Amino acid sequence: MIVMNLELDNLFAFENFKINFSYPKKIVNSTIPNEHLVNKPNFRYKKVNILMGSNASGKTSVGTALREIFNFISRKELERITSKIKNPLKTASFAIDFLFNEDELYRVSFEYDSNKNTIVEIFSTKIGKGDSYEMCIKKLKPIMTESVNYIEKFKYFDGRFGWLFTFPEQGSNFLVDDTDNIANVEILKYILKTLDPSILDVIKSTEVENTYIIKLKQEDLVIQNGEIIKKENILSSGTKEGINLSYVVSSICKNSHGFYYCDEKFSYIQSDIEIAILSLMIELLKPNSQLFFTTHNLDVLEMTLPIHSFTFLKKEQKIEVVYPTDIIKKNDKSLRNAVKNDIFGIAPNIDLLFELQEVCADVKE
Amino acid sequence: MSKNDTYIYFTEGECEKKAIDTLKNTHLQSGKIRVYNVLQKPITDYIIRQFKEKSIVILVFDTDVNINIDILQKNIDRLNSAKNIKKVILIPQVKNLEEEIIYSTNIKAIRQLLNSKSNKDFKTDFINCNNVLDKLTDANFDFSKFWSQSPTGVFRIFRNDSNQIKKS
Repeated sequence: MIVMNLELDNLFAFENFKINFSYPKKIVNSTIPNEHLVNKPNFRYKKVNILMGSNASGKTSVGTALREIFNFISRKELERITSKIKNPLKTASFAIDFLFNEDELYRVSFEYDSNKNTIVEIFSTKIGKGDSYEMCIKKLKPIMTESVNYIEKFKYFDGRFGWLFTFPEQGSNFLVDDTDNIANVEILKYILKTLDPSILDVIKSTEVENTYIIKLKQEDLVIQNGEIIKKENILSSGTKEGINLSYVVSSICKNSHGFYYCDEKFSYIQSDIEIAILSLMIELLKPNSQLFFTTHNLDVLEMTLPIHSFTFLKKEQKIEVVYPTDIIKKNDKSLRNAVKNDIFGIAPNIDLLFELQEVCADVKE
Repeated sequence: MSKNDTYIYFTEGECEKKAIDTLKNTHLQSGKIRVYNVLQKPITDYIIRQFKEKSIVILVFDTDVNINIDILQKNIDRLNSAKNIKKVILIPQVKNLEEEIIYSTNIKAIRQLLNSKSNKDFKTDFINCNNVLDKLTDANFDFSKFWSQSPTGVFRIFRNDSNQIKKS
């Protein structure tokens, strides 16, 4: 599944917000080859989206909004959206452009006014051999117009959505119910051993379902249904995070979900390891799938990726998107240096922390 | 100066911050901007410790105040002695931002730039304005005149280094 455009107003943390995932022209010698629909090379989409920004700039909110919109459409649960309206006295709306495969582009637009009236419209168009996204949106036509309510309309999409979101507070709950056997023990072993060299081996239990054994010199630790059985274990926070990450990498490797949103999962993980795992995720991404990755790690800016892979979010009066490609036109410019000197205007304001020094000086012992 | 250098502006107030934000990239070397009055507040180790290697610090300060310049001089000396500071660039405004704007445009009073109700209202209007560069252009802004003058009085000992961060 691929998302091409998202617009949100008066929903989640957003007002008049728009974020787009197409890019204008092919990049020569890109390290993300074939960043377009497999058989429709003019339909270019950002296969890898690295979202960066200060705290509270909207990185997690973009993920939450996408997840709740997907849930609303596929499960027809209106509450998923209406519970996230900022100002109930104003109309709230979203519009999302997406595709499941190379054949058709869809747009779902939603409006919910202060009288609780819901308007949902679905648009679609066939994607022609030489079409770009920009050409397709001009051809979008309403469908399912005979259906009276959104529940009927959304039946059109039944069974077609696939997604995997992982957020910082999530822990390793993917393994709680891995009935599809997505987790791969080899991936788990290699990632955990990288994060903790004292781990000798990781094996899957042959006796108990959904159970893995981490073999250490001193003892064995059992992971059952995503939980390490022994609470007082010696694994570091980063290593525990690795359990969940292994699931995400396994899922990308098997292309089990097609759409991946990995939100700040590397807070406890060393920078080189974060970059290596991100690079692996990119390498494993299958055609016509999409990865979103949020991070605070500025070293990621030095990865050899197209500049269009990076999108910055900033919050002043409201959350806004900054595309570095609007300012840096050449791919050989250092994004890291640009961010260091705040060319994109996304640096956090730390003036208050400067003042805090004076405040602290007045605090009596 | 190399492309790997890090630039940090220290400005007196939000108006200067807005002006630099507006002019950076197109007219000025881009950098992070901190609102911190270097005429009144010491730049301590707490702040210096946060600078990256080879940082270039730009101090922007007004010269219309009757003030003891000891703190400013100590700040400059402290920055010059810090290992992670490559250079200190001084920009004495003559005599403040409003006068700099008047000097480099065709307006006679600062309220004319944004059609403010009064000169007093200008600061708020300036901070809230979304198209400062357009407004400056409308007033025939001559960037070569902006931050180009040398200060007088007690501030005359501070050279104006603005050419080092102006884009030609």
